[in-house]
Amino acid sequence: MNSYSLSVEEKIERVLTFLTSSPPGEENDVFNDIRGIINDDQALQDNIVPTLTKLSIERFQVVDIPDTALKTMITQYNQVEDNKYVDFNTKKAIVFDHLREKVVSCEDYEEESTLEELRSLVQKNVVGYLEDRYQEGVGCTFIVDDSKVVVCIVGNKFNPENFWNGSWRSSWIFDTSSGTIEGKVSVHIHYYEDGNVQQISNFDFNEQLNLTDDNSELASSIVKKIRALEQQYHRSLNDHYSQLSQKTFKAFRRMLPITRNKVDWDKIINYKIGESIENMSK
Amino acid sequence: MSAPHSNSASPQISHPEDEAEQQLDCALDLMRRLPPQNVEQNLVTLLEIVPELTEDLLSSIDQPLKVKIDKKTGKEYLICDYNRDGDSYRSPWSNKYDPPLGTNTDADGYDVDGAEAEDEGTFPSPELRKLEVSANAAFETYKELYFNGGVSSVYLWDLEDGFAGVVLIKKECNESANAKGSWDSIHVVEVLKKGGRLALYKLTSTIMLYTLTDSKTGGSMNLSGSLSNQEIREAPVDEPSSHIANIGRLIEDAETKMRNKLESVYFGKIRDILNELRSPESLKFERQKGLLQSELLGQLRPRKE
Repeated sequence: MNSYSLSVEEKIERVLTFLTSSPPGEENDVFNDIRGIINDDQALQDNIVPTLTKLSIERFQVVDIPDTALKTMITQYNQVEDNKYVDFNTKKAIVFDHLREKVVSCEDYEEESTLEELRSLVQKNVVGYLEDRYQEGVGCTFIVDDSKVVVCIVGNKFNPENFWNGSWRSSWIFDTSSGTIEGKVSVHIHYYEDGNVQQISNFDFNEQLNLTDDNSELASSIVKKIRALEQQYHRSLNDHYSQLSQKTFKAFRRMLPITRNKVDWDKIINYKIGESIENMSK
Repeated sequence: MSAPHSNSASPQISHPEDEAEQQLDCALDLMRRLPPQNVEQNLVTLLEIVPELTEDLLSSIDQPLKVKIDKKTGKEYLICDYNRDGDSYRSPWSNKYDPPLGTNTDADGYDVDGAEAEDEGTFPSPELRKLEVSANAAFETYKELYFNGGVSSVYLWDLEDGFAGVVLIKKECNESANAKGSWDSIHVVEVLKKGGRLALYKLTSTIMLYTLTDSKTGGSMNLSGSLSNQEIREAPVDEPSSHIANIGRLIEDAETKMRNKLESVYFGKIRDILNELRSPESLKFERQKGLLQSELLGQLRPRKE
């Protein structure tokens, strides 16, 4: 079909789009497929790091903080250098090797901010919320531009033994000067027993909170808002499934013909063959 | 993620035949994982990267069916790899290729039986064409009965020991500008003559179902995919037209079974997974419910024994 042929760099550039759309928990499998298709490890290694970095940042990749039982995540909100990410809870910065997928070093890191008290109170409330709703949830609270408190939440469950993987991911940006809270929730689910079915859904929120000087009260109202909006979205998805099942699905194909009987094939054939032979002889 | 230079499996392969095989395996695995929402774009990208696998990829990856209009009869028909020859497609109604296959066909060896590709393209034998005409009429009725609209097409081709065919059905549902959907059935059947008056039918079915909504109140939601199923059945053949009834019953049963499975996956399984990622109720409450249940079971068990 193609009379020209692409250079290996051009091939890699195209193939990397596959990685960014990979289902959650299957990034490795997709990577190995790409590796088998390109069949040039050196060229792949030379070109893949920016995509791997982008992938980790977009998906809030969860990583273990060395020498602790704690986790943090890789996001645009806590990136301080190319591959350095700050964990505000432990005041550590981790250096992450995106190619080898591991933390290479970890150092103390602290930035003075008047928002630290609010941030740590928000984090406390987030932890309580996660325990209440997420079986395997991770949540981190960051300070951005010394004016915004950002909450990132990831609820991943990977169950390849039963042919499914899923990810619920949300980010909430609270602006301490205006009191607005901007949220984004993304859900990606892959079910692949005897097939390949995926749900890809997104929702954006924009709400206003009442400002107060009481950090404890403000932190509590921020996380209450997050909880309420996530619950609202969760409910709308569950309603959507019922709606699809009750209305949309029936409009595609009926369970039985309108006669409520299965098709009488002998009748159809005798009738139709008579008709088509007539047409053919015309 | 394993780094390219790590000592994990799949070493680099230099043998050209092994390389092509490895590339095809990886490409097929990739397509089983990537979002079905992007299957057409992903396939285009793959064909750019490994053009030498074009025929293999086009014949093994199901794509959403496309509708074309028969210029002679004005009737709609469905196109797929089974009625394709180069860039032309054969209509089941007029039995003509569109665009017409000219003399400049670049014989790409597309013929199933390995014979030299003729300039006129591949057609079923006259006897099989008669069956194809009847099958198209029969499945058009089937489609009306179950789908109440949509488009159907049947294509048959000769095999050494029988024949094979594909039954295609497409139904689109566009409730509004923000809610769209499409159902595509692809049933590939192989018919093998057995002793006496029996024939063996091997059916491989794929149903693709796309649902898309986009609204201010619900955000964007794309729930799409495909499920596959295989059936084997033996049935008596008294006359050639018996094949159509036999294939018809087989497809009707398989499609009904798959419809139930699609419903349970799309609206049951996916919802269950969502509710495992984030619990719609307090987990404390869920745990208490679970504890209560196991306590009750514990109390019941001794009585049973």
